Amino acid sequence: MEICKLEHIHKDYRMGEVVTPLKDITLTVHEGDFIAVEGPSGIGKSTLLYVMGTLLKADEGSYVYGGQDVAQWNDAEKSAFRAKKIGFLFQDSTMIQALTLRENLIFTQRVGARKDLKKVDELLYQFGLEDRADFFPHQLSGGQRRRAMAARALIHEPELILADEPTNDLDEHWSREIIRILKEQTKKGTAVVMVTHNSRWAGQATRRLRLEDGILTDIAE
Amino acid sequence: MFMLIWNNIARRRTQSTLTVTITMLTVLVFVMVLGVFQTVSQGLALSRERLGADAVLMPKYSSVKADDLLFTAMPSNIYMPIEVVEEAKQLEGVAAMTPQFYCQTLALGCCDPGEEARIIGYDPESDFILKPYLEEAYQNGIDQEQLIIGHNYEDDDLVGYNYMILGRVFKVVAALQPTGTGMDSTFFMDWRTAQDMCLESEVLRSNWTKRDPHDFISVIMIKFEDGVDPDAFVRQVEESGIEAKCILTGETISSLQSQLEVTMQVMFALWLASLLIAVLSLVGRFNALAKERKKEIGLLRAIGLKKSQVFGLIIGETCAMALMGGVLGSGIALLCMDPIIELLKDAFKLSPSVWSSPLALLCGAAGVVLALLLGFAAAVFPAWKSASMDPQAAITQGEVN
Repeated sequence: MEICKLEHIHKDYRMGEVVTPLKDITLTVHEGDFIAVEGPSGIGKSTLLYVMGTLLKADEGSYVYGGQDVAQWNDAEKSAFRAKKIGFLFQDSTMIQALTLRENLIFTQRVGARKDLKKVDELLYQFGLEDRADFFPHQLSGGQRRRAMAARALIHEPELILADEPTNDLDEHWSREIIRILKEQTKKGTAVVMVTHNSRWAGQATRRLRLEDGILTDIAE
Repeated sequence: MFMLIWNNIARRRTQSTLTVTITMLTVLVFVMVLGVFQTVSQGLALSRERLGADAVLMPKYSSVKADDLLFTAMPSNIYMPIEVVEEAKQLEGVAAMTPQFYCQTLALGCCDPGEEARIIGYDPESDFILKPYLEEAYQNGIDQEQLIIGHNYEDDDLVGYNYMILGRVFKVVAALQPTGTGMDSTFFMDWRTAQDMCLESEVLRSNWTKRDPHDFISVIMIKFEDGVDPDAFVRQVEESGIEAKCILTGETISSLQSQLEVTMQVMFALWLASLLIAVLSLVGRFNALAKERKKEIGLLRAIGLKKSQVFGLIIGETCAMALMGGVLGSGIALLCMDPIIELLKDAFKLSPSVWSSPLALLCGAAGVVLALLLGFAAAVFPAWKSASMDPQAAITQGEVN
């Protein structure tokens, strides 16, 4: 079943000169999809995720999510959509500094109008963070923060996970674990769009795409 | 949301302490200035309303200042011959007049209040100064053993009890309402009693070896008839040859008021300058905080917080800190008010009786409201800026900016 569809998405940045990371993007995401988007650094992979997560508005083209035109949504609708349907895993390990790891997860859940403390403990255990639950973000290592962010992306059981280089800062074991957990989510119907320039992890996806010159192309097996 | 607001305040202790301190100091100064201003202005208004006399005749060559005589309870042992009363009766434009006889308690610590305090002996027959504030039972005067106390002695709960002054035992029968004048710290008794006591007291008697206190009075309080020109009355006294000078109470109050107004204006200007500095430093702080937390605000938007919620979060944090600063500042200022008013009492001719619990509550509440307004005003622009930030730009450029 189709979750979202991007058609002819175009996005320019004006930073002295005009940069066009997304020229003509067309992509359909279905339930259970695990899509890897590859490409060199700075090519616009993250921009694609921001557009899909409604953090950035496309200049042209249409983005339909759950049968609705995202361009018609106001700020409150977009916020509610992100709170309930989207799980972000950003490239930078950003967390709420004044909250402990456990509180970060609870807060994210509550923004999505959920309260499931069992799920919080489950995820902490799954990502090997149960003994760090009451640590503040600045007390965690880079790898631990990365895992915490992955846990946060799953805490409200989103429909679509947008993961930007999810294995950054992680050792071999945890990189493999994160990919395994993401794959496991797809089996429950969650779709994952993962940006990576690591072809090894991209190889785990069910569909591999390459972003180049603002256009997405399928990478042949 | 409240959890995040509280944790942002409690766990960023240094930043929060700084913000609370700036607000606290601003409110502290504000409440103190407001408290003094209110005490002074209400005191003067009370004085005008309750002094009762339009003019005072006092000994011609007395060096006691008019404002000290009216507004402080400083013992003023000034006397003029009792014949002045008869002479004053010839003056035109007088609706009522009443003589008073002044003496004082001594700082002996035994058989006395233990400090120098003014005693006013009043003439119950002609009195119009105390009468409006006395119960009906004492409207026609008090016995020789009875005593009326000024409002400032009321705290000691003396009414109904015996009280010893200069070795003589009195029964306290009434306490006056606050007047904002020296009357608040004065003992009142029948003038004949006061004159008798000058002869009974060993110390006071030394002033009366060659004279009989019964032949003297200290001042005559005068109420004008309607339409009397006060300046013309003063000229009339000067030209009549009476051995007394006339001071106009209204003029004295107005002169005091204008002196106080200038002082208060200077204090208010200084406070405004400190308010401006506080606003600027808080705006700077909240701007810096918003920049520092740009990435975090981007994250909050990404996980689903609405613009209005981000705005509310920042305003909520600042208002909560402002509230703490306001409550602390107001509390400390109110604690300091008694010693401050005591300190300023003589310089400003203040009556501490005006500084009451309702006025303290009013000033404290005004301080808290000011703190909230200050916090809101300082945070509204940074909060709006943060809430309006493009979340993607906040996340990606957070560290660069």
